[in-house]
Amino acid sequence: MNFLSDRRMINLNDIITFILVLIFPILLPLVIKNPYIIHLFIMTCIGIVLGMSFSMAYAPGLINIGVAAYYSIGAYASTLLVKKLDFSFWAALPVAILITGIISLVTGLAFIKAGTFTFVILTLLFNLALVQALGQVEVLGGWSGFVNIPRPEPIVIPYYSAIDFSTHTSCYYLILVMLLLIVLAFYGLYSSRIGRAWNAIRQSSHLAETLGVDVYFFRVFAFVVASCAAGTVGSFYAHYFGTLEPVTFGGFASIYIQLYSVLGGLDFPILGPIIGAIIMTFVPEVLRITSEIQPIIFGVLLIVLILFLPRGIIGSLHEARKMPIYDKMAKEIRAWLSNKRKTV
Amino acid sequence: MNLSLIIQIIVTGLAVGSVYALMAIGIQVIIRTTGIVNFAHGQFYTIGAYTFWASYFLLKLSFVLSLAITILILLLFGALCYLFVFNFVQQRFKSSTSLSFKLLLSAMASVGLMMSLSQTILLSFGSEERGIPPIWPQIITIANVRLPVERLVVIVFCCLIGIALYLFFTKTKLGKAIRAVSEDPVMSTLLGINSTRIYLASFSIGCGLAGFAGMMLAPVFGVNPEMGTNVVFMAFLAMIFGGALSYKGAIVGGLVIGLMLSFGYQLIGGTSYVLVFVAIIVFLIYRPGGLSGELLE
Repeated sequence: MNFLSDRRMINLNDIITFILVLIFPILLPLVIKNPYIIHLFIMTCIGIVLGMSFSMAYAPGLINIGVAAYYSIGAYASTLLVKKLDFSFWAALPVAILITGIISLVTGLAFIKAGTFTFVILTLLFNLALVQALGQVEVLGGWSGFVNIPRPEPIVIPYYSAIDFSTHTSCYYLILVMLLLIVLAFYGLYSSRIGRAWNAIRQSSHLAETLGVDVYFFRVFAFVVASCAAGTVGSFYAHYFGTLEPVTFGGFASIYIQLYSVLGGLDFPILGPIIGAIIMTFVPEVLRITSEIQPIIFGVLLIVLILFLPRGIIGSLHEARKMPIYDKMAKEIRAWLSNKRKTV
Repeated sequence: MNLSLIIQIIVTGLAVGSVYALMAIGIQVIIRTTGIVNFAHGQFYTIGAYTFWASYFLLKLSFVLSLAITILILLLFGALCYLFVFNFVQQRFKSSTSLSFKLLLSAMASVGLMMSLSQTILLSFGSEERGIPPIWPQIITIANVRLPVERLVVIVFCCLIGIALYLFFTKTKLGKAIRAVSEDPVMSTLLGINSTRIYLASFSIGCGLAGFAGMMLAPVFGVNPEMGTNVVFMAFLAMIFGGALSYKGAIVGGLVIGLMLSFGYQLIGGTSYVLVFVAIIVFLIYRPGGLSGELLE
């Protein structure tokens, strides 16, 4: 099963597998009625998009440890538009994405010009500075943030009924649709000329430049698209969760996002974050890890991952399949099975 | 605003700025020799401050003794961090590994270290602010200008450390070896320099500088678990502003940012922190390599 796994052309098999896999999340609310578990699934979807945002910036070799900054810009822009200017959610969402895009374009132009090494530092600094700004400036909510942010307005379908977003289940379907659209858009980008240019830049930016690829343009483009995706789910998060606080978007949030995509595997820009976000959301819940020691465990987990599984879970599985020991074991098992059959 | 206030602000700015410069030099030593962006530097700063607080305030040791203990513990701690984390990360590097993958591995390892260290500090020392009684409570008055001695002492100590570092890098064998490895690791290994030992030494020197910086500001501003975040922010900013490939740039950047911040707090208040960041980003758009002009690739 390696659908959506690599940057290659679309084929029919992939599409069929994709649709088959998609049935599970669609049917999920019919099986699970507990609102808390639905909430966890919604947070997983948000985590997947944020992880994909990190992976997309990594595609042309940029390491963005400030994804939470653009996530917060989307959330705050949409909240401010709804609360101060009386926009509806459906009007605020595109404007919020646009604002995130403009801010990421301006910052991206400056950060990427300063070199890949400095880019890593600057994104984290931008995240910390933004949290300070959100906390210090009273117009932006201050340290206490916003409460009672309204849920998205109901969609009225003529001659039928209205879809309202007061329940967790309907919000789940909304984020699922957003996730699906973002996955399709990202998949299209990765399998197009642009995706191949990113691949070339990541492997060697100097070589790509000599072959006529505009490195600066493609890096800025990837950064802006990735940040817009983060802003989209940020806007959804604000209206779904109802409260906003600057502390939610601090440096730790960005590091968790990075863990999502690294745990799954960075060579798999769409499947990796999906696996990573599911594991990272549900394992702490199942093990009942308190939020106090969670950063310690996740920090150590990040280091251990880097040391032992630098290609992530999916990447390591792929590598294991290529290893000679795997072939040998498979041969022995087959021999053992056939022997057994003979004796019987 | 009168003259005496301006002079006081300048002295505070220089004191804070010289600490930023020390931190930035520490980060730069590590980046230039080992190629690791050490995000955990702020936590080393906090650990330095807490070690000084424990040895000077809790154990009632003398100032010189607690200074020596702090620096020794931080040098050891840095060496341990290198041996148990970054050494393994560097062993995974092959000559075919691309720069972005190297950068990713080292940045993530240091970010993981930062996260676990900062939470460990928070859980073991509690979130409350701890004060250290001023070591030099005197105030010098020159022609109506009142200057607190402790801030002057910070400046003097940072200058002394700066001179010591200069002598270390130009006169001693280890310092020369560190500079050689940061220029060209392969060539210096061929010439018989044990590069693993140099990496270890430069990492622990960087951490020792961070601990010293934390210890200097601990009696002035108090000790709390969050103190490292702000300082490391400013130190990274100073390093980028000055140019990531020059120690002189780091010193100039640290002092400029210290002065900007202390004037900003007086004139604008808390948002000056953000405004300094914005100003430096605007500067970077026109001069991506910082003051020294060399890009770190």
